[in-house]
Amino acid sequence: MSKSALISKQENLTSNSTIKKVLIIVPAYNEELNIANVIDDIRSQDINVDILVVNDSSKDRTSIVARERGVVTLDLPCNLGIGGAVQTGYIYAHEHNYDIAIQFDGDGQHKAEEIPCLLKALENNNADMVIGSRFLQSEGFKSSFLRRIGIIYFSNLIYLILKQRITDTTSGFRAVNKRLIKLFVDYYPDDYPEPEVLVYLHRKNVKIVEIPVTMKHREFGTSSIHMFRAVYYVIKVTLSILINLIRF
Amino acid sequence: MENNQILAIIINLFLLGFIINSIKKGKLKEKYALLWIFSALTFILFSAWFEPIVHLAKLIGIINPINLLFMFGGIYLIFIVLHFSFALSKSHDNYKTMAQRVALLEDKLKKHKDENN
Repeated sequence: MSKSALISKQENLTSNSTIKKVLIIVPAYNEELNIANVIDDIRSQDINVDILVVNDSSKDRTSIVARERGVVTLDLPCNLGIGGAVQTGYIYAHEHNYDIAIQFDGDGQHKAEEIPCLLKALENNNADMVIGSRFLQSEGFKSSFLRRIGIIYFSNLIYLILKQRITDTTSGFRAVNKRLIKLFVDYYPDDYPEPEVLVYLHRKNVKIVEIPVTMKHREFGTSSIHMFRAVYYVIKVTLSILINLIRF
Repeated sequence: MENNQILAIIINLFLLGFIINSIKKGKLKEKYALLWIFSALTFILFSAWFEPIVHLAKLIGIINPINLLFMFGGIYLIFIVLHFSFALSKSHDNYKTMAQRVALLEDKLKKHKDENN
């Protein structure tokens, strides 16, 4: 589905939606320079949402900056990694009876103006999860050859398991409904949660929808150290996915 | 008794002493202490009484009985390391849950305080 067709379809349906409690979960580790902009960006949108910053035991002033802005902030006493931090957000969402939770990175690479698109897509498609994909629209996305191979590889690996094409398996910009919030309270993967969680969900009869988004670029270096890390990352994520596949 | 047996027994006695001392200081959990005391005692037993090892090696077809000891040692260490990996994984899950609960409780406490002020 093209972006314009999606948007026009969404606009027709927004008027009759009921008001739902929405929580934006912002995992943050050492983001004192970005977190204020992220919060302001979300608040500048014409949407009724609550923001929760999960400070993953940052060594800098992330928590103080977030609290200064009057945002509910959870301080993890030790560093749990992205999976543990995000799950804390889902537990909070569950305890406070939110209908929808949206993951939004604390580093400022996601655009708050696209949050309404995620919400509309969740509503209109009656989906359990909406993923904001960088790659659904090829224009504006430039990347190195190696990175493209990685993206296609993960997409195909997930396709083999889910039998559904997810173009951006590592996107951390996602919206989920109440049912998935509850599922994530029970289990959320630790290390590379984004692709892994898709595998976890594949037997739960979950409807996942992708919509195109744009992200601000964080440049990937091309030095040999980064290349080694990238290969290591690919192998580790593959293992995590396969382990998850036999676990559930 | 041969000299190398005596040496082995002395080394194992030192190990045993070290373990018992660590338990006394509270550095070693009883669960693991038991494992290591049992290990040290087994080592001492086979250092002093080598006969069964020689027979077993003959039975399996190992020419030098010492190699049987190395094999057992290797298998034993693999199981111990595996055991620690299990223990670590469990302990990781435990502290993750605890860190999350602490963060959520701190938030509740803060809200409670703000309401009362």
